[in-house]
Amino acid sequence: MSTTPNIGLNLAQRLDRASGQLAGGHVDWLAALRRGARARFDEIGVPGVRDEDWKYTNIAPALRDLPGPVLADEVVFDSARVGMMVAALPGLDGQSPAIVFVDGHFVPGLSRLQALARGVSVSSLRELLGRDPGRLQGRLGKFLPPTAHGLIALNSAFLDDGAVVEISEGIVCERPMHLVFVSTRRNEAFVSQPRNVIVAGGGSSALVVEHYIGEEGARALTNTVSEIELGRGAAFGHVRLQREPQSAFHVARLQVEQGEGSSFSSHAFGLGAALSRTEVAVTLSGENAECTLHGLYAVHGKQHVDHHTMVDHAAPRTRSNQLYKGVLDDDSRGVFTGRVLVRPMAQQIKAVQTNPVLLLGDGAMAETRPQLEIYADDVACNHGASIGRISEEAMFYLRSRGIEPREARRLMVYGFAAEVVESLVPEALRESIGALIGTHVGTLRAGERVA
Amino acid sequence: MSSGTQAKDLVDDGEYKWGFVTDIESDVAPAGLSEDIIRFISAKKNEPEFMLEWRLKAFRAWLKMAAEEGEPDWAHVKFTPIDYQAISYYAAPKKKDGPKSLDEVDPELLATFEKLGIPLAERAILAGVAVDAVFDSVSVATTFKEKLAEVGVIFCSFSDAVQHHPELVRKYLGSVVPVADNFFAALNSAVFTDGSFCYIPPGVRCPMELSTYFRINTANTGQFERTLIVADEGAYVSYLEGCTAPKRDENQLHAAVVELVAHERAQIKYSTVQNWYPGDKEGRGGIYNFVTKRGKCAGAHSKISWTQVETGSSITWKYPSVILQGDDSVGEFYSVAVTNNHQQADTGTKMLHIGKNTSSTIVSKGISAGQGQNSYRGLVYVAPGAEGARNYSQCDSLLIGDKCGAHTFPYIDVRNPTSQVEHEASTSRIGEDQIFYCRQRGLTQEDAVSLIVNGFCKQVFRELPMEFAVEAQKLLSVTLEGAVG
Repeated sequence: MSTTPNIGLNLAQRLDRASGQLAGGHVDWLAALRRGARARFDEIGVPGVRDEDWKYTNIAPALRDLPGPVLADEVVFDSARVGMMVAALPGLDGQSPAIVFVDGHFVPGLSRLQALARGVSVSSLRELLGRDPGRLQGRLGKFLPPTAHGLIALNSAFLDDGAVVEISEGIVCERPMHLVFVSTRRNEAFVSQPRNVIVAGGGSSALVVEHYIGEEGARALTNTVSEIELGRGAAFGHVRLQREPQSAFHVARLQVEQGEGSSFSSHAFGLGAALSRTEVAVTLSGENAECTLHGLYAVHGKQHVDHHTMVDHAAPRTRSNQLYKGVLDDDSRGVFTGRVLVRPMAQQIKAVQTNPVLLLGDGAMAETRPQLEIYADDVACNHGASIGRISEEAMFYLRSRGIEPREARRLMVYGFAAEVVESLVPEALRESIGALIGTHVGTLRAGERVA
Repeated sequence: MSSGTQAKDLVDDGEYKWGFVTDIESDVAPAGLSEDIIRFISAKKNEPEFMLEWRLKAFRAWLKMAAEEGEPDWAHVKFTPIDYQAISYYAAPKKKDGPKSLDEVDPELLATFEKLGIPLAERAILAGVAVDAVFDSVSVATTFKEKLAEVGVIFCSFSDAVQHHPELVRKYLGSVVPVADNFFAALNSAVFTDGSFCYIPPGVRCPMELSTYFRINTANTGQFERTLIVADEGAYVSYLEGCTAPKRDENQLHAAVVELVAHERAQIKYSTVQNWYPGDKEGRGGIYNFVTKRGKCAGAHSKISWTQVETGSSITWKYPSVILQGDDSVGEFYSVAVTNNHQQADTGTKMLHIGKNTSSTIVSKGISAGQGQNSYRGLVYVAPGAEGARNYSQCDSLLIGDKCGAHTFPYIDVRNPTSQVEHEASTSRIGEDQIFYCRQRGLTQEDAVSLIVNGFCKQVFRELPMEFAVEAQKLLSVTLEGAVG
């Protein structure tokens, strides 16, 4: 299947160097899980552009330098600098709990886990596997489809660290919890494969923000998998802010399993990295479950950003709503694939999906594949996609009111992008992310090119 | 030649018995596919050398595809593998002395037309439609030739075109669908026996709507039709293609290729009503309709419009496309696809925007009933140089019954920021309130459904020429009979 079998093989062999040091090496079930994933990876390798799902995204450049593992005792970084980067993260006030990883490894000194609400635990996966591995048995990888692509198998084969968030039944967390992943290593290309597990108990309510940042020049390939399980009636919010440096590559999978009556909301911001691929896969397994998937990708230069969503309506009376917006400047390329599956017997389904894309740069490219696959009849599903420029009429309107073209353009782009931010709660988070997006779209150079 | 040995490898040793020399006298070629069969077809049709070369090139490309990848498997359809060696690739209709007029046409054949409700002669005269009826693989009747010849329009069977206008055939054949375009197109290019050819000279508006009725009649005969329509500068033509087939029990492969070329300011309107045998209620039998249709807007301000009503076939695999090469050219695709019982349809279009200020419209209506599976699959591509390209797509699906499926797989690929592309799709079932409203006014359930379905398809039907629109509506009702209980 793979077009780059050798790269995949070499990569896995390179990562084998870390095998002896992986967390919970003595645990049988974990060893079996890793072996199975490794066998799967050896079989299918790295996805290539001939795989229909990867048609528009060639991952090979991320592997060209054959990134290696970073062993726990090799993590070297400037603690003060990283501390400042963490402190500057949007929405992370002095009160919110945060767990920080540098180059894939947990850093207790930068984390803040004392602020946790009762009934909530946030721990390092590595620590937990050392302390109480039984707690994760049968849970790790539980909902990942066996046919998932090679990079997910690679993550499982070498899973080592990441965040484990457990929210007990009925607990309402008022403050968002922040999972922070920082890439710093510059002298050598490396792979960091955080594996996050989140379990939201029945009736609980919580919000988790995943931040992916890094130092300029860091040569990271982040290949992360987050698994979320929502109990009956749970309400869970997830925000992913991908702002990795332009020197980095980012591959992410968010796998969500929703129980009866649960509600899930996701906001995925794809702003950074030379090349990124972000997948959100939601299975609505319980009746009356609903999900809202929002995304914004705003890139420039030669960045390549790929968002992929899969919503599986596996139970009756489930609803999904997707809004993914793209802003593409310069020679950047934005890909969106959104798949909605309605299974047989899953009646009374409502599914909506929208993907508007704004092309700013002369060399910008957009590829969009909204897909509906429906095997039940009592459904109301629709999707829409549009690709175009900033409306000349709107520009004229703003200019006729004395607004400079550059500012008018910025306003238009911000107004376009802000829709994704607006649905964020709580307000403090919405404001800080809104400000971040405002600054980010302000840096897109399209405004400067206007005559 | 290595491909020769490959061809032999494809055939069971025991069955490879007809050797190199082909029997020109035979009316039906033995089942199987090899270079010899292609030579047989070409010789039988008395083709010039370039045609044989072209066919062999296609066959070698097909062999390579068959060996490396096999049949395309990306479409959302399931079928039992086709044994290409079990198909007979040439069958001439039985003839005594050859019909000189319609009266002399085999009465059995005419009876078939009658049964299908298309009285050939009457219809041709009354409606002023020129009919080049293809029965199995060879033309049996061609009408209105003189009238068309007056204005210089060439409308004839493909074999005639090869004999009398080889320079045109040579120039345009394969110019839109190359021999190695895809598996089924390559197969068609290698073995096609006949089809229609049409050339409209510069500035001529074709005085009548051209029409061809394809029928499948001989068991075990794959149909490989080839259609080539060329509209020269400023010309206009409207072409109707209707397909119906009598009941049949085994699957039959139908792999046609249609090529359209529109030069500067030329317009081609191509309408299809496809009603091949869809198989029985249990999904047995039925036609495999694997068709490649593509038009090229070669000149500026040219326009190609596809309208299709697909109610038949057990499997439809068809993507009438337009290459918008000329500046300001226009492409259109209007489609109604119905699947009932166990029918499967994977159909849509490709709009390839290459020239500046090109525009395209896609309106696709899919109706699924019974256990039918209906997919829209389309591509809108805007090349980097296609300044000001514009596309609007709308794909709606209607579900009747809880065991059918409706799927939408559009690809939108935009490489020019000055373009504007919009896509909308919806999937739903007939609303209970709509049915209630109609029932309340005295309509039966079936009539209510028929009314709603026709309304759903109206946008497409109104693109059809009048007599076709009537037939299409009838077909729709017949196809959906018993779908609602």
